[in-house]
Amino acid sequence: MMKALLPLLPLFAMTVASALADGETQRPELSLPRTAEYDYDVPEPGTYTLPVLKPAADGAVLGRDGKPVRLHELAEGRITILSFIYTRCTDPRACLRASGTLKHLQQLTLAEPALATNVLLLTLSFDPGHDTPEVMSRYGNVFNRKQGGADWLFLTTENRDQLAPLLDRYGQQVDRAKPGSAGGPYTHPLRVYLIDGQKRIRNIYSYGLLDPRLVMTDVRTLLMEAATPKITASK
Amino acid sequence: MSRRSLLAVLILASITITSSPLLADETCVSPYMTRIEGQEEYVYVWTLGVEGLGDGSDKLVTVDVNPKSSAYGKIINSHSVGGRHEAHHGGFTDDRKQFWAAALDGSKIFVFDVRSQPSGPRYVKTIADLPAKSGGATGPHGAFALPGRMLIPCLSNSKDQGGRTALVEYSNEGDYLATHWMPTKSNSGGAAGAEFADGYGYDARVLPRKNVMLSSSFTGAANYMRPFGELVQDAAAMKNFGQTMTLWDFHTRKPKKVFQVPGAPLEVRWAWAPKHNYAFTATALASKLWLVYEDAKGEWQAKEVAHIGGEKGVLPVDISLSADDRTLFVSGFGDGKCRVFDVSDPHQPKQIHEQAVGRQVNMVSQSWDGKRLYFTSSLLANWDKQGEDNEQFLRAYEWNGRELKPTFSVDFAKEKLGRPHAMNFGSSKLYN
Repeated sequence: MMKALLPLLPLFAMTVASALADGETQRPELSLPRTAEYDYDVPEPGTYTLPVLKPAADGAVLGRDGKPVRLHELAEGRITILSFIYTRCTDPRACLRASGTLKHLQQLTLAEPALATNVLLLTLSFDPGHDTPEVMSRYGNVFNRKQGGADWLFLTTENRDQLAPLLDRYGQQVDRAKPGSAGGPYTHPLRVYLIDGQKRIRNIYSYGLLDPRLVMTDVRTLLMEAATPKITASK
Repeated sequence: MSRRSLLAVLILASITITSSPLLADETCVSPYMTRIEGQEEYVYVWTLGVEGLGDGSDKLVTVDVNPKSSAYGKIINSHSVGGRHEAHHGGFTDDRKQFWAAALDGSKIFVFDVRSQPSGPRYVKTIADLPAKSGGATGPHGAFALPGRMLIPCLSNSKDQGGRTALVEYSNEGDYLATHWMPTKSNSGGAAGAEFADGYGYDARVLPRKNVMLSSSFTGAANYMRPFGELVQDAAAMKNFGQTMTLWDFHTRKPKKVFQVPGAPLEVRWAWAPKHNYAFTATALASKLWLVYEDAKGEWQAKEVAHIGGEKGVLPVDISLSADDRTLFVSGFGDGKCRVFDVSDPHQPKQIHEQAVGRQVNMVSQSWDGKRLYFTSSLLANWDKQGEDNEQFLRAYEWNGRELKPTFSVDFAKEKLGRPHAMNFGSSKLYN
């Protein structure tokens, strides 16, 4: 299904870009209020550039059904928002925050089915010893109830050996917390990655940046970028 | 609680939780890093080499500052980078795995691994392509952590060695990402106050919850590499100092407003409390304390709020704001004193204490709990004082809320190390 839609991505992106330029499309994210944490107005999509930070690493992961699959296969050319979490995290400012924000992003895509088909949400555990596919499936059921919007997949890995290269290449730091730590057995910086259709990391959101309005604006910026005709050398 | 209720709470939490101290670091570094909450164990001192002193090279010196350690107050490691490059400031990456030590002369950034062995940072590599990749920005002043990348505020340019310069971004892996030139009158990027824009740069720091970044301005290589005594006699050259601060839209990296702040505004220190939408800076040449703040109408303003020192000024070169936003420490290179201001009312700072630190003093850094402060002595190789006044030290103090009391001192000249400049804290407890 998704592969069948891929050729339509540039067309969709051009449509979004055109509609935004004409002011015809409402951006659902603009209905969200400014908060104490995100106390600013978000910029217009396409009025800024997102540099390529580095290639988004590929690697083997396990889906909710426990079957192995590679990250790049899942993306299928879609703009991907990847969040590293572990389900035992009890710090509301960390993994729960990340998953709550992804839920918010999914809801924002509800009103735009065409946009939703070009966005993929991924939640990947860095605690494979505990977060089995079954655990991730239950975790996913809390957040991702059937209601439409962008696809959201909940992933884990076979073991730490399979996980380590992914953490290293994405730059996701994970440390063991002090025994009895209130936030859970691990400490880690909150990181959510924005990956474009060419499998490149274009932004990294952390504390203070994981604003659903801002992330959605970045997604629209990438879609507009994909719709912009490239100037060829022959011209 | 039902799953639906739990989900509602989580989503609400995702948009309503206010900023927490966990967002912060020990008082004056990037809010995107994990901070050292308790006792720091090490102070990494980025040190300028001095010809004929020891190996003569710039080096990263590690001092043990854990009072429980048998090596308390002692140098426990030193790594020379070879040659003299005008070592200046630096910063950790957001994961605090690396320390990037910036050097003005030659525009190099020396990268150290501080995670593997915090007591002895390991040299990793040198980033030497900044002028070429950035389109001519030179003089990397420091390194400010952003998620997955580093922001490098520069001081000069390769075209005329003047003060026209840029903010440059690199990935944590050391790959060049982007250049953002400081606004000028002819290329202001649509910023308000474009008539003041001078294109100069120095420090740049972000207030995430307002999506703003504030930059300050100093001078170009033609001035900062010149002997100070000679420079101050050159009236034309003395006009080539920054007179502005620029407020940026952080996400788009576009300048929003240029403020006229005469006299070389240097370090930028944002307040920490959730509703404290303001930052301090000190103007080195005018000896003034300035406040950049959001007013009741949501407009950003800048105003002078205090004079520092006597009539002649004291060349205030570094400031450190306490984590509770109540106390500001100001080091004056001119008279070697630290002045402490009560800034509970940021619009009306009041000096509450004064402490002679040495014959010259430059940087001041404090622990997150505000109990310990560290000072170093060197400003720039060619601007440091001469003869007996050229003391080179790291000095530690305790702050009890009323006065600074000395705890230990390391003589960097006697130890044949060089001129100590920037200080950053390390701890093995950050990593498990």
